[in-house]
Amino acid sequence: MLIPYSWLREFINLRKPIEQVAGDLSLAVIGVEGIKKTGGEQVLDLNITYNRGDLLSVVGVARELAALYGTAIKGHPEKFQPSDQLSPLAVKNDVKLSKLYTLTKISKLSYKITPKQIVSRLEEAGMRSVNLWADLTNYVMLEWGQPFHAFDAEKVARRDSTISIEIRPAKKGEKIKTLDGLDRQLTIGDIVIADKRGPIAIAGVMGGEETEVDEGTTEILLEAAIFDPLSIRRTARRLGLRSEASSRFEHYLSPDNLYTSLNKILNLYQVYGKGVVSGFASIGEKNTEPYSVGLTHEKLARVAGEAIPLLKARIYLERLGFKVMSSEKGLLCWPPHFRSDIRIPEDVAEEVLRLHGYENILAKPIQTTLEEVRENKLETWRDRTTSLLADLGFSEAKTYPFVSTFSLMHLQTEGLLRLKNPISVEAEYLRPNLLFSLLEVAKRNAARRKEGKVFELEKIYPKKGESLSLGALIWGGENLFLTLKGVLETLGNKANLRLEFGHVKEEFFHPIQVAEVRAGGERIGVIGTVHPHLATAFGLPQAAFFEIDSERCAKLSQPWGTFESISTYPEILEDYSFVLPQTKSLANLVSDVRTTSPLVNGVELKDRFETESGERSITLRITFQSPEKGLSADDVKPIRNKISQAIQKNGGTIRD
Amino acid sequence: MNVVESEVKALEEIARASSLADLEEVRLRHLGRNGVINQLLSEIPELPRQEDRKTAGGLINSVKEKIENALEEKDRELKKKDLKEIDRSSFDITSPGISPHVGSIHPLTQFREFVRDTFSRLGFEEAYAPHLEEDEYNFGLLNIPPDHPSRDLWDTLYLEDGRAMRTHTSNMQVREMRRRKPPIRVMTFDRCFRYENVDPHHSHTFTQFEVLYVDKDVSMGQLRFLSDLFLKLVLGEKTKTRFRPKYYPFVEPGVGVDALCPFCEGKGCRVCGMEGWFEIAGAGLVHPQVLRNGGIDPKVYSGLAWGFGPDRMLMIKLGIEDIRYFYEGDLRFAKQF
Repeated sequence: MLIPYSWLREFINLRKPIEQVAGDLSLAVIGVEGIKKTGGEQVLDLNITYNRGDLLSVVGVARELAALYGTAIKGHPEKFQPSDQLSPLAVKNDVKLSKLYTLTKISKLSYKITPKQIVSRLEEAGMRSVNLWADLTNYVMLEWGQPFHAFDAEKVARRDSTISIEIRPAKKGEKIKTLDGLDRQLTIGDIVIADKRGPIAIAGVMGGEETEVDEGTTEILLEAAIFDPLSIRRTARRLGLRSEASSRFEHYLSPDNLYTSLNKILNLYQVYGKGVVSGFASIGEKNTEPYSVGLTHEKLARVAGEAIPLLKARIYLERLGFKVMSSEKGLLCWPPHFRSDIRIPEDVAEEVLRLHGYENILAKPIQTTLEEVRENKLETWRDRTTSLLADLGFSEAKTYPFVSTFSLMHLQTEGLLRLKNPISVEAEYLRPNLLFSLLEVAKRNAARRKEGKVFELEKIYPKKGESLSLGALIWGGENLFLTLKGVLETLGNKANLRLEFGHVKEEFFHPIQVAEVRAGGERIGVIGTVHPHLATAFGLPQAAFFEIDSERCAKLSQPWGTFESISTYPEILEDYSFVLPQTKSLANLVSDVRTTSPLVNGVELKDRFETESGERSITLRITFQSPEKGLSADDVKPIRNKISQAIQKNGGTIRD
Repeated sequence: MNVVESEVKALEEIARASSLADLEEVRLRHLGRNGVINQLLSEIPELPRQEDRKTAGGLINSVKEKIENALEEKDRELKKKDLKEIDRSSFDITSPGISPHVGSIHPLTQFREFVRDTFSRLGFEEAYAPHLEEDEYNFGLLNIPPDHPSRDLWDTLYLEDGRAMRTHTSNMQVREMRRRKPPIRVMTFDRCFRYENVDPHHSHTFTQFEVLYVDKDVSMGQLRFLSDLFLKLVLGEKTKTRFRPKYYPFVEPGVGVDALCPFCEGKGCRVCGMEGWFEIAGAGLVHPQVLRNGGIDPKVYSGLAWGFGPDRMLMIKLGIEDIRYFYEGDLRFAKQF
């Protein structure tokens, strides 16, 4: 809301510079976007929130400043009192749609151009001058917060000489040509102002072109009403016609204020347009129904954190226009008619604290009972995994939750969650995995880095439900699958999580170099070489990727491992070299070797050499050790044979 | 070889030794297990006469002693010389160390750990709530009914199935109230989403941190305490803060928390947009209706909610001028942390 400073000062004496007033407003009333200087005028730009619709007016802001500074506002006009002599107007109103509807006929108008001050104030407040009749409605709206609409009474009579106005829901298929010259299709949720022939205005949103006021207008039907806020909001949004007027209707307007502002505008029509009020009709509440909210001393102290004397509170509230009665327990408060946002004791307490000054609220240390502390495996997993991956050379990335159009070329969109109102095609589908997010990170960096390691620990949104995932991608270099598998195994070891790997076919991965990752008997993820075609598409020579479910890993992990006692007796080390084709499982071989004898205390992959033809040469280093005694060559001799057998049984050919 | 010859040879070799390594070789050659002296000693039993054996033994041992003494002296001399040489050598200690090739942890993750650690010391537990959320938890139960104008505060992304991408971490509030009993102290540091075009200062994906504390007698005074405590920790002991009225439908009273600009200390500069203050956090006392929605009796309990945007806080703290750095995976950004 833009408020020219000179306009504000018509209602309150302000000796402070505008910067200071702006500061006071922002500390005790409402957000200030800034101070604009246009021409010779300084304009306050206020950020009015939904709860403070009363501040969508110059007078409303003046009232607040008066309360803040302990002064009164000036020039408060009386409410409009229609005289008995006015001719009645035919108006039918459904009170569900309009809490109060008034129509005033102003006759004998003679047009002149809008006074300069009004034009410039409208412009400073962000509106355009149209013609005197319309300008006056906007002027009083900006000043008092009550929107008006002026119909040309003769044009209305030309449609139907009886001039019988009705506030009703739009009928299906009804149309109206609005002031902006566009034909608008109406729906049942819209409220219209209609005569017998149909709609002449969309209530609270925009008038009809046919009954528009212009320089030739000599008789006006002036509408001042309070419409159902939600209905106005829906219609204005649907038609893309949110205006200064409609945004005020979205708040709760006050009947009292309506009558006061009506008095003001009729006065202006008389002064600038020589008009005479000749007819009037009103249907609905004439006054704002008063209601009270109690504020006990305890409540106020509980909100503030310290005792605030009730007498002080009462003074603040009265300055804000509340009627206050003291009782034994506290205060009984009747909010002023323009503060329908005040409903509960906490609302009243906030009013007191605002004027008391938030800077006067003292920090109060928290005293509380200590509770049971629960283990949080997920956070332990997160912290350790992140640190470990970073230590192992991986950079953590954080990426958007969407699938870009580039990645979408590789995905079936039917399998993805889609937004109803995407911002753009780049943010339309939710990511089902971290693969594409990290491929894009790699793509972004590949030009500068031939090799890279990245990971992300974030949510993914497959159709079956969102989950916290962990993805890691490496590109460039050699032996990517085994390198990345080593990383994953290390993660597992450090979390005391036994990982198993099984054969699988998986989209987006190399047909052969891919495995599903299992823990605790369930599948928790996948690891593999990225399909060569996919890697190429992202500008990578080759890449490997794993993704595992963080929540499940955390659940299965053990923050603490178990201790195995360390033998003090010397160990004997022996190396076994053999050739093993890629079709045979080295993991099974190692497992068999390990179980040949209790004296086999460790089996380590000391060396491996892989040929392009798929053969590999392996050297295992076996540690023999006993917890009970020092081993001699005789102790080890019988095991050697078993080890050789185990190697051969698993497809290995021992080399000399 | 006779004893005298071996003595002469040993002493000569010792004199010639030019380094400690040379000297060690000489020592091994003469006094080592298979050295000359041992060789000579082993030949003694072959002498036929007892007297000769005795004489030879004495002679060899005296030679051994001489060699030992010469070795010791030479050793001292060489060590002295060695030290002089080390002193004369040069080494560029400014030459960069051999990098162990470590990766990096995203600044938001590092910040999350810091914030979490701080609040867990204050007894707050981690709370988790879905990113894809029912309208109820994100809005309805927080006093933001459908079609309500207060919804304008949040430009929301909706899924085709009607769920929202949560617009704030406050969707955890009613969820946590329903699954816990007061006193409730929970926190969350997680992602939120808004219908927003991405530019240097806006992002459809952003991060929020939020705490919820429900107990008997929770007040604005305690909110002030918690707020000051944390902001001083992040922005420095000298940080000044202030509360302003701010509207959030799920708190009453609601406040915006400003921090004095650490760069200009309130004078107004480019970083704070000439304001002197940064709006840094939002907070308030939990609205009684929200407590009721969470199954908590507002007559007995009250609550506070306090939160901030870690992206923005880090941008201020680290001088990062573009929010997109956080989310677009440029390793030149990542590597700095």
